[in-house]
Amino acid sequence: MNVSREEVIKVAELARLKLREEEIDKFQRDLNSCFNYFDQLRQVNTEGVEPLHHLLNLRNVTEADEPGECLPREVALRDAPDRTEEFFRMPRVID
Amino acid sequence: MSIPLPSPEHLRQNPIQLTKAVSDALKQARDGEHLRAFITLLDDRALVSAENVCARLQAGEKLPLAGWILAVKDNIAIRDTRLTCGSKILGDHQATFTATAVKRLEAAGAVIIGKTNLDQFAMGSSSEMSYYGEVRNPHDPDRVPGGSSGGSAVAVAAGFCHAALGSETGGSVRQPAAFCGIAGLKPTYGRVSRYGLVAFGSSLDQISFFGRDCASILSILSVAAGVDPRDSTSAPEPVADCSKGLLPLHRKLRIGIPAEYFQTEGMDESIVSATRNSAEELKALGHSLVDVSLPTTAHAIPVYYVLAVAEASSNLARFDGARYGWRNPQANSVADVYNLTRGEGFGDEVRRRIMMGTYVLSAGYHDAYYKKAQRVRRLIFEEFLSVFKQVDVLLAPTTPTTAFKIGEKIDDPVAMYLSDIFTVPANLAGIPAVSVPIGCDERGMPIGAQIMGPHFSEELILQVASQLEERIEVAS
Repeated sequence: MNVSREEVIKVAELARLKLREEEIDKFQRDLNSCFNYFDQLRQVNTEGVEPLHHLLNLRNVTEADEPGECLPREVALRDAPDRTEEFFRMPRVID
Repeated sequence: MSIPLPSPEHLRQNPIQLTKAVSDALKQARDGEHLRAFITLLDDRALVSAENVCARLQAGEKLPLAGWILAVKDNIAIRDTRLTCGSKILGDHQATFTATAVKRLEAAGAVIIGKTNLDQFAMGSSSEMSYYGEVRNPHDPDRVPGGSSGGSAVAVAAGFCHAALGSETGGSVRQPAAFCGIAGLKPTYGRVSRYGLVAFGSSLDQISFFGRDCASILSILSVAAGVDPRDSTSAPEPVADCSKGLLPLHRKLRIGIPAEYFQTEGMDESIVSATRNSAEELKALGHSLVDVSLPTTAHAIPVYYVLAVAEASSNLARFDGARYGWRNPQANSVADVYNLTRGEGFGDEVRRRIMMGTYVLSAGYHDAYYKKAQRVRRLIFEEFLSVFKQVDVLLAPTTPTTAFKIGEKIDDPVAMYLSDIFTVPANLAGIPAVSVPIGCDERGMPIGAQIMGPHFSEELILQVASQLEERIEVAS
């Protein structure tokens, strides 16, 4: 596996991580060294083995649709980086 | 060195001394600031809580954890206190609710003195990757305490508290317990509610415990454990009644010695011999030793990292600078709020893992990495199930080396990942495992060995580990 510079840029975009120009090469190097190591998984014969999604015999948990304890709006908003009286505020989407 | 805190039993019988003990613990934590064990000390809250426990005891209430002074890893939420996850991106965020485990411990009388330092979002094996500075090992401050729960390990090892909460995704409690010379238990996946634990790899994460010994850990575990309607993956299995404490083990067990855990490249010889010595001690008590093999565990690290980074990339999407924590002040558009806040708010290791996770989940690589890793995980899981048909528990080293130097592995992610090679398999299989100190290397750095057992065998593995504690005198 070889992760290209373009792929690093693409993945960072998908993950919404702005990288500085000088960081791209470093992450490319790191990702390549990790994926080269991960590639040993190819040696393992997994024919006919089902992927394991969870460990316990989980079953669907349902709950009565009744209101429980709620987070008061003022508490939800108290750490907002930017807010109005009642809402979180983000920069304008449409000019 | 700090003055030892009075024991929880002593404080329970002398409630009037609790407030002073809590204030002494806080003072010692401050005097030991150079170790960077804590991100936030909760002075006022802890003292109020001590007064409260004292009053309740004097009123005749029975509180099983009265007298216990605890620390909590700072990726576990406590309402109205700061929750940083060791990161810049959470800023001065104050949690809006309390983790179930913490709620149960406090209701039982435990007092929490502070939130401990960690690798950002629990991603790391050395506690060097915290925005709040690297944690230092009390046995040698030039060495790491292990991680990611390094702050909690140091808080217990340095005597700032009786026991502490950490979290494990791939060994983040057992590995630092081994490096710091204390006991550390990762319970069965689902044994303790994850509600209030900031999610990293949800199929692996488990709140875990540090104590000076196995008996302490059982006391805390038995209160924190149990099903929780707020975590649908918490296990409905009943929690054993542990009110009589950790009982001596009367049965003779078959103890498996997995060959693969003694043959890793670059492994310290002192760890191999100390672990073999522990096996002989257990044999001398009448247990039988059985050589076993877990061949697929050789691939545990790549399986773990592929799955953990995939889950992390999804779990950490919620940190976007919109609703809480830090927002990059340079952002002028919605896209920039996300890109610039996350780009600067997450450290290198977190960004590395989010990118790897995004990559392994993307079209074209999903089957080759993510699905493949899930298949190999099943093989590892089944190997453990089959070995537990032959033996009752497994004994193995906790780590391939003792605590390494600060800075030694920081620029080599794969070398850092390999320090978890012996702890990760238990997380992949969801089984419980406990690490206890079994000696020191030639530099005086602690060595740990772990007992792993079948799902929900916490009490049994603690009993076996406690026999090692009794048999092996570790100089400290």
